[in-house]
Amino acid sequence: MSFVNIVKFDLKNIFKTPMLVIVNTLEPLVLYIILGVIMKNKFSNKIMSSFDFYAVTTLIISATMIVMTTSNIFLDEKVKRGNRRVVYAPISKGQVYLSKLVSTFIFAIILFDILAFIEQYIFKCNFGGKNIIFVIILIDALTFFACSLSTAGCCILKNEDKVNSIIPLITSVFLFFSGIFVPLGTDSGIMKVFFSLSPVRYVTECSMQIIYDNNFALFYKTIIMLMILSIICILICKFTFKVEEYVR
Amino acid sequence: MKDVIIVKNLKKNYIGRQAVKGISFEVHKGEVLGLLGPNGAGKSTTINILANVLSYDGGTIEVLGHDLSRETKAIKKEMGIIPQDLAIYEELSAEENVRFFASIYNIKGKELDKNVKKALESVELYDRRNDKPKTFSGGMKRRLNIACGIAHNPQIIIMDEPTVGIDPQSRNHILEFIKTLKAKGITVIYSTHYMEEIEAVADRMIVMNEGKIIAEGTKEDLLKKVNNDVTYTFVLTNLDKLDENLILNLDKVKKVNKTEDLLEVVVSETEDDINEIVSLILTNNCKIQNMNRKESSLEDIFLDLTGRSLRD
Repeated sequence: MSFVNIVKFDLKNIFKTPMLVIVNTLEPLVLYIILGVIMKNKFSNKIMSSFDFYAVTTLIISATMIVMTTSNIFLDEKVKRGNRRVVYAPISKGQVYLSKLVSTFIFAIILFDILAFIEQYIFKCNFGGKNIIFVIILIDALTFFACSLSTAGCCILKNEDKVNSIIPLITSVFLFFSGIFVPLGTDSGIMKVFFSLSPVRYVTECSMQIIYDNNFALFYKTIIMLMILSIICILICKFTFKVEEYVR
Repeated sequence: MKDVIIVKNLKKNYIGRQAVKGISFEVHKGEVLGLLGPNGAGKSTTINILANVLSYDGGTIEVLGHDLSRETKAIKKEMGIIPQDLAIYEELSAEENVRFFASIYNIKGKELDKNVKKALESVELYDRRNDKPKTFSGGMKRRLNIACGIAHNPQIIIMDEPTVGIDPQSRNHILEFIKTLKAKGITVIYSTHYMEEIEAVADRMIVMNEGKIIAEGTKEDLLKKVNNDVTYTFVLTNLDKLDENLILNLDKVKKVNKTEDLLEVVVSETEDDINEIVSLILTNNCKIQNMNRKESSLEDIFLDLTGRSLRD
């Protein structure tokens, strides 16, 4: 019950922070419009318009960049002061970092899922029609992994500035090798290894296969891979989170 | 008297340093125990161990009959912690802060409403309950910090330097509040390096220095353990005519210090000595213009025990 209270409270806190709401709603929307307009001529429009492509990919980018929100609600000095008292309560140490992870995840999926529905049903972008639910599940799984990665970063690095310098760097590498920004060849040996290391690439590829080919071959593999990576991150938190360092 | 906390041979090591060196003490039910010592004495380490946020390397701790190393949840429910650093959310109202921190102890419904109101009233912030702490003065924030730590009705309250950097009015308010806690039978551990606060509220005190307990007891107990000196200071005319050795030869006079028109005489406590000293002064043609008597204070006791001032 205490855990639910903490998650509810954290969630309320995030929604009360305008900067976090704007970054996770307006930013993907603006990015989608700008990229859609700029790249309009690069797409044939017959199968996929630039707006179709960037509606999906900007949400994938936002899901990946949620790492900044997690570190903010976990380690930002203003919030951390109050969080310190939480550790005095009769809860386990795991509940301290899990509450941050879960609340950011819920916050993100509420916003991203609403955006996906708006983009499909109001802006008429292609999210696969009825298959939109599977694309959303993929984006949500990626969001969960990003939240877990950032939480692990917070537990290891223990400092918001360090987390915000290192973790977004890792996610930017994932994004670069996903081919979202620049189409990349996949044939050459070493590059193939790099591509295969980016979880974002699997989410992007799988989403496109579901939307345009009604092909679910990668769906379960991608979800399982993201869940395994998230569990590894949570295990890292379990071994590296020290209450005494958090309250210091 | 029932002991609510029993600490035996507690040890805590940091890399290359032993912060707590095998201390043992008990805390009686309903008492205010002052934990006194300069910075680095091991007070905060001890408090953080009792608050269950710091592990320890040796010894045993029993709180309300529960073993601290195994029954942490049961202990945490009965403990209220007022940390030295403010542990509140600046962006939420005072009431939201207190409500949240009470709710994570599984208090809900009408009981939660009642506790929140009571906690805010007891620190005189109920009228400001809808305001955010960022609009509060330092003293008000400290009081809110206290309200957040007591709203779940703990049996034991641990306060770590709760008056640091606040105005005298808020400090007095906090000290008065501690007295009301004591009157309700709540046990309080009060850590500070302000001697006058300990004198004002504590029933008993533990003096720590360099990770060890160097004295324990009531103020009177401690005074008995260390020197019980009284210092008389006289303002005299014709002081140059007085030979200080005459006074130094008196029984129980330990030290005489003569400067311009001031004579300072340290005696080992007895009321009769003053008569002998005064008559000696007068028979040597000196006139007493003023006189002052000063007993050993806790500050002197601490200096005597450690060779350090408390605020070092």
